[in-house]
Amino acid sequence: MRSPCGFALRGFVSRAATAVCLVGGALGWTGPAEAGDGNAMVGVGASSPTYYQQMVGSQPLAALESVSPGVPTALAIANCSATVEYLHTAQPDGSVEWDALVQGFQRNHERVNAVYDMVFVLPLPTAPSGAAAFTPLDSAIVPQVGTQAASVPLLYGGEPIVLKRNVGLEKSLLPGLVGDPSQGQLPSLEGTGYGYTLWDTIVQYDPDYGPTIQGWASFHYATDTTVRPPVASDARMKAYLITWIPTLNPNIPPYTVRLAVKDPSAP
Amino acid sequence: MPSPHPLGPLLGRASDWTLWAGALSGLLLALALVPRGTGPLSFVALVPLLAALESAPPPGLALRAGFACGLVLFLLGGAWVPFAGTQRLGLLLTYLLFAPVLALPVAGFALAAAWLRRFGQTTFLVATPALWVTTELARYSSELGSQFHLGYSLADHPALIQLAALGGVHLVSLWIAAVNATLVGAALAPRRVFPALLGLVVLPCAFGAAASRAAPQAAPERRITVAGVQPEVRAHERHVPERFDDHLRELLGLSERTLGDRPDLIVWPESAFERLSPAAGAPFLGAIAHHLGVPLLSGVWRLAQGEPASLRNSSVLATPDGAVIVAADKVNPIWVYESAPRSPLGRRLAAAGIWPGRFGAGPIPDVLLVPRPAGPIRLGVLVCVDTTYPELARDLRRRGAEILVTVANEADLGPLTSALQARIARVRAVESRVPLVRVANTGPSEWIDARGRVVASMEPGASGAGTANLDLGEDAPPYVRFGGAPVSTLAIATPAFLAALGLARQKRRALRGRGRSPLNLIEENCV
Repeated sequence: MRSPCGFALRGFVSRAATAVCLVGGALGWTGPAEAGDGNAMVGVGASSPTYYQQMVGSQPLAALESVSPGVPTALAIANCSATVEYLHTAQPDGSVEWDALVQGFQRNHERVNAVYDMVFVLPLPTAPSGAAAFTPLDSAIVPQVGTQAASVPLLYGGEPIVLKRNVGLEKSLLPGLVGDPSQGQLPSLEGTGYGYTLWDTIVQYDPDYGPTIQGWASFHYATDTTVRPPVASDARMKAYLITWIPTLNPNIPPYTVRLAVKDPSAP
Repeated sequence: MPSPHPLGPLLGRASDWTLWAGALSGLLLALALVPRGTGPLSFVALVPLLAALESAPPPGLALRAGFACGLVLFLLGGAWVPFAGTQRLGLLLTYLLFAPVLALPVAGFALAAAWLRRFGQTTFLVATPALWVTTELARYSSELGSQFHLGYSLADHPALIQLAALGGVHLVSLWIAAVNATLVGAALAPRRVFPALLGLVVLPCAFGAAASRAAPQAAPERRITVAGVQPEVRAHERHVPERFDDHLRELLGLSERTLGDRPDLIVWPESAFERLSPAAGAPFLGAIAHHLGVPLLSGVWRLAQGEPASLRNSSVLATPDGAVIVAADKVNPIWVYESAPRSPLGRRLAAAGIWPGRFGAGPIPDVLLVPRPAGPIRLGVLVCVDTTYPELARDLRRRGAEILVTVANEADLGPLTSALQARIARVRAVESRVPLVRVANTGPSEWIDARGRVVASMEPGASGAGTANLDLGEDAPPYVRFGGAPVSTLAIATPAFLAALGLARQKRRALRGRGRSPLNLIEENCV
């Protein structure tokens, strides 16, 4: 029988662990197999406490802030119904153009007054040497709202969210996060021909924002013809959105939603 | 016996007025060095003490007069120390210990000057400026003592500090002390000394006026736009967890305001990022630089690697690609106030709450490459009082730094200290002939060009952000090439040479008085 907590934590302080499990229960998070309803988050009412609200509880945010240096090495991962689809088109010059299309994203708006780092973890092609095997055609990922035919940038705090690739964070944060999935870490993508890339932006809490954040996004890149689309059935092949409050104690795993990779041919 | 003083009847005994003269010089020095706008007082500050010493007082009295001068200077100059933190007792003890210790070299100066007076007025007047610089060198190893060099008093006037490019701050001090001594000489023998006084004033001023003139504007790739953020966080609010997010928002908001000026670098003050950082630097700062799209230099406290792990007062450079590297650690954490205790006694004092310091000393900083569209620039970073150590800035310049940045926080220390630190930064810019940007939590934050002129500034008392364009460093001046050795040698060798000369003359006179020449003496001894 699966635990109602869809994640496990490594080196987590007992108080935080208790709180997280409570949160997991409260939010009805489920493991990947039970995510058939599409999104554990969708059914959560606006009044339900969010992850960080539960973590903070009645105490001030400062009570959970870091007194020791370090970065998180585990995540509190929940599934969501959003998907990433890798659409590709052969070009006359022999290259292949790709569109990593994120659709159906929706999650609760965190109600904790803090400065956040929104980190989107997107698998993209790598060469056997580990170097990137793609050429970006977009300089950033800009989440949109509305339909693809009539979309506008997603505004938060009055400004568009612009996720730019953060190579520095890939070097500082990612190595500690990739490891044992049962410990709240990301699975290694070794041997898949793909590697994680991190795209982030800093956002400051906007109390006037609505109860949920919804949107879709698209990222275009080019590769040579040897690159194959990710295997959607590979359980490791997922994208993630990490909502990180960097000032919190690093033992507190940042809240993360997992996005399934969709086979382009699938309906 | 000391000669009678014109104010003798008012001051009482000769020993009294000698001591008062010393104390008056101490007061004038403090007035010249600490508040703003009174720097030129330094040209006369030493006159009372030198006038008293010129009358060749007994050694004990000269010693006491010099000590009085030093004590008044350092008690007034360091009056902020007891109020610089919550552990008042330790800070008060530090203050009460430091002021007399720092006064000792001044006492030694007075003793040596009075002794040299026996070889004649000229010897006295020529030797005393060099002797004064020797006292500055003697208290050089202390971060408190090294802030009170005479040369810093003139930093509000760029034309008057250009000698620093030739011989560092001590050459400026030498000049000021020489003017003081010449004024005393001019009072004694006006006709003989006045031409020397005129030359001593006019020539360095003419050199300074020419050297401080603006250089032709550099090519665009040799210019840099630096933004500085002055959050003005009060001492009691800093590093309070409840305030962290508010302070971070303030920093982010102020930084974003500068983006319209397309800065090549944004600078936050000393320990502005109020979260303990891992040894390699806070990754979140990388995320912020990435978000801003501009390299960000910020002060942080970081936990250094090694056993036992210890804190460093550092600055880190975060680049738009999200990378974070340690730019510099404070090499000279202030004794007791900042530095962690290393001796058993210090540890006991710390356990008793009397020693508040927690930081270890960092290594000598290295030059960093800061990426920018017009090509990378070489940046040298100094943390707070490290700016008062000329050799650190000079070393960075020798390693190719094209611009220096100082991150500072004087929220605890008061406006007089921060103004003094700002003036010290201007002298560093002249010595190295590079622009220097000083970004301080509570100000003043200043953009200083390679000639020591303040191009832009943010005054204390208000939070804000500013941006200014600066030309990158010019050719290395003689001070960078030759260091402080020529002036130090001159300062030490001049009194020693004059003393040797005086002793030889004395001996010759004594021999002559006995009717024997040195040859006679040798013959007598041989027989």
